[in-house]
Amino acid sequence: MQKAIKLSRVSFKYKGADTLALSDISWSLKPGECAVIMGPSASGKTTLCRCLNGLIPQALEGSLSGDIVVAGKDVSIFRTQTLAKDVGFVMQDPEVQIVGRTVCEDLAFGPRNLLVPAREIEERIPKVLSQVGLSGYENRFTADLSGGEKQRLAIAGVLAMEPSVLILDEPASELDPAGRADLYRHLDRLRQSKGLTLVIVEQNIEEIRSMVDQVLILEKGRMVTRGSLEGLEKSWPHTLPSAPTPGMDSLPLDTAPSLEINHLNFEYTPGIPVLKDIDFSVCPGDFMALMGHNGAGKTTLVKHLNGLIPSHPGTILFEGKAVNRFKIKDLARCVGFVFQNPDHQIFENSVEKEIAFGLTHMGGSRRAVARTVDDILEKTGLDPFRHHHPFTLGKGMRQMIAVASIAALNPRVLVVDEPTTGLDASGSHMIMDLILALHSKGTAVVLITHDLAMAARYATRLVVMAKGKIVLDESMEKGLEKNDVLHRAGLVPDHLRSFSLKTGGSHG
Amino acid sequence: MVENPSLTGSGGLDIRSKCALFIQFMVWTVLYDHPACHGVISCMIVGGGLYVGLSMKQMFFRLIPLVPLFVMIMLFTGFNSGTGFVHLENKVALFTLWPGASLTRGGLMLGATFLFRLLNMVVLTQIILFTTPLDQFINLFVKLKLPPALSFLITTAIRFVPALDKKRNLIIAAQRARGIDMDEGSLFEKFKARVAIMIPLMVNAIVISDQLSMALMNRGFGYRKNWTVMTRLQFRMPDYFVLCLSLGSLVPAFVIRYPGLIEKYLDIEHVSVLFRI
Repeated sequence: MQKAIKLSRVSFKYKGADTLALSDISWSLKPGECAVIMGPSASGKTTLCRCLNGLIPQALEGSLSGDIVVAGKDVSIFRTQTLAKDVGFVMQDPEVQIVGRTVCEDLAFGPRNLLVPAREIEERIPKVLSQVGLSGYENRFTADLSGGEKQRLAIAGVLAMEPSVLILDEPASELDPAGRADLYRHLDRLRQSKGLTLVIVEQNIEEIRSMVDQVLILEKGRMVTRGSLEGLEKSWPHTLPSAPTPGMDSLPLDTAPSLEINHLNFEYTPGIPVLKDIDFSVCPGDFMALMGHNGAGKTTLVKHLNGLIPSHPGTILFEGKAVNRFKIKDLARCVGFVFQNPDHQIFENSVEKEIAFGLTHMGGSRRAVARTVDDILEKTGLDPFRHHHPFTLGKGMRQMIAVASIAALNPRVLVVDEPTTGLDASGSHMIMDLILALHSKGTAVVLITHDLAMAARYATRLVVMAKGKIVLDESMEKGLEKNDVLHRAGLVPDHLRSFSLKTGGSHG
Repeated sequence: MVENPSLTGSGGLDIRSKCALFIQFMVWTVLYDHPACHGVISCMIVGGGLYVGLSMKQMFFRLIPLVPLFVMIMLFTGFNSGTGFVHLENKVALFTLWPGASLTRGGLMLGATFLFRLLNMVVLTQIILFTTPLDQFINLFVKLKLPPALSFLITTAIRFVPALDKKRNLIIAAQRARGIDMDEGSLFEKFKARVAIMIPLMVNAIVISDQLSMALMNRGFGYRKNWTVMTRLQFRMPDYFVLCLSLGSLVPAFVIRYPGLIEKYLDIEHVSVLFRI
């Protein structure tokens, strides 16, 4: 049987790079099989995907050696656009892959380029929408879709071109567990019904366990191991799910809350409430995991906490004073906020200056700023990179810089929105250790995450939101027992419903 | 930019009719100097915008950052327009800063005219973008025999302006969370605050464009020189009506502006003067 993918001794070095991004990779996959590529950040996962659909060497400069044949075509001979008929590639960020203003317009784009007749395109659109669980979305505006819906649309856009090989680079990184499980269920159904060959880059293997035929583990551009999931779990345990470390002890809670939210209601569009009568408080020493499905209102809620979205006077109090009576500068010092994407924040030309910026801006003396920056750089392991331009570093490092620059301000409450998305296990641990260090000094932490295992490992309090309401606010221990609530909030997918997080359901 | 579905379906005007309307309004705008004329044209355009479902905020929010520029235009034109006006009262200096720099009524009116022209162009463009699906632009470019790559370049730019705008808002929020306030502090601090927005925005724009080019290749863009046409441009009865109205309205517009064209048959110089400053 002809292989769907066949790589022979493939090596690649990006133009201007010192080291090989891929080194001597040989691998093959049969039609209808599913392979998962795993490995730490910068191990060559995305580079390998780009080789499979011809973006390397056609769009990205560098030196490539070895042979790559995908769907019977040599990628060095055929153009990426020609390969697109057989090889679909869904990149990590759905935002840049959506080119239409309506769902329909976007889905038609690929087949139109391939000169598929208009009538056939019209027939394909509802079909692919149902395959990704977006039936009835034809006339929706792409700008109005949620992050999860955009990710599904990006996949549907490629499926509409009816490829025989589908490559997906972390396609579910922004979805909640239920959404992830749902997406992979749809992909598995496609694989079984149409014989679609799947190559998926994924850090979290739990939801795709049942569909995986092969696992490839890359490290520094080399394929360190390859085989079935069962075999690899024995030989390479450190990348696969491990038991959670015990959650840290809760600090003694002060009686007076740092942040108090009373009857908070909010709507972006009149008549469509996003937050409904929210009441809760954040006390010094709290380590709260704020969870919920995509679109539950988590980010909207925390944006109120440091005045990014204004609230009515008296609705949100920081140490007894309404947050809207604070100056932006002063509130930022009290309630630190780290966004999901570090690139929205970084602008200085060295790591050192980036971390110092907030302190200088707050009016700190030169000596005090230098001392704090030195301290933070040492604790975060960023010291060797202090003179590097932040944008020359990897995403994990940039996320670390973003957290460090807020940690340097020593805020009394720290809000972190999905700080580990797209990071490997070691990157995630580094970030979480820094947040823990801050927490141990008395900073209350509000952690937004979809990863229940990570929340269970670090947080002491669990707050769950669903449809703009708080549906659970308990200590972590008690919260984890409310399996039904967690399931309804999309935090525990169906197949893990009876799975106990306390007994080893962690995601590495 | 949000699109109005009721106007993008089969019931909406053809893009060529919209272009004809656009040209008609622009010709009117260029022909006359008197701000009152432009005020009337602006009312018609804004009324049209409200009719198609745009809110006042959607029509004007892009102009808000330009307000300081508008004030400068008014002042510059007010003081530097000389005295070459038709009506005597417009030549009279209202205020003299120094010899040769007098603020005249005519100058202020001319400044107002310039502002109205800008406003008309911006709002009219907003209306067309709001009511026209991307596909119709592409079909028009195909009809004009423009290369598909150029057509897509233009339409993608239209699509990515809101995406970049969204990015800008995220960056502003991230920087505000660090305590950067663009509206507070000295001029230097305000400038520094804007740098904190501009640098991540530029970096993100480069990243987006790089990924976009790869995403387009993944979707087969450039596979062939042409692509499947989904819907053909087609004139309907309302389109013929609009085209006739647009062309018809241009005749009196030219005649009033240039009364000499018909002076053998009709003397309307006194009417024409009313439309000038």
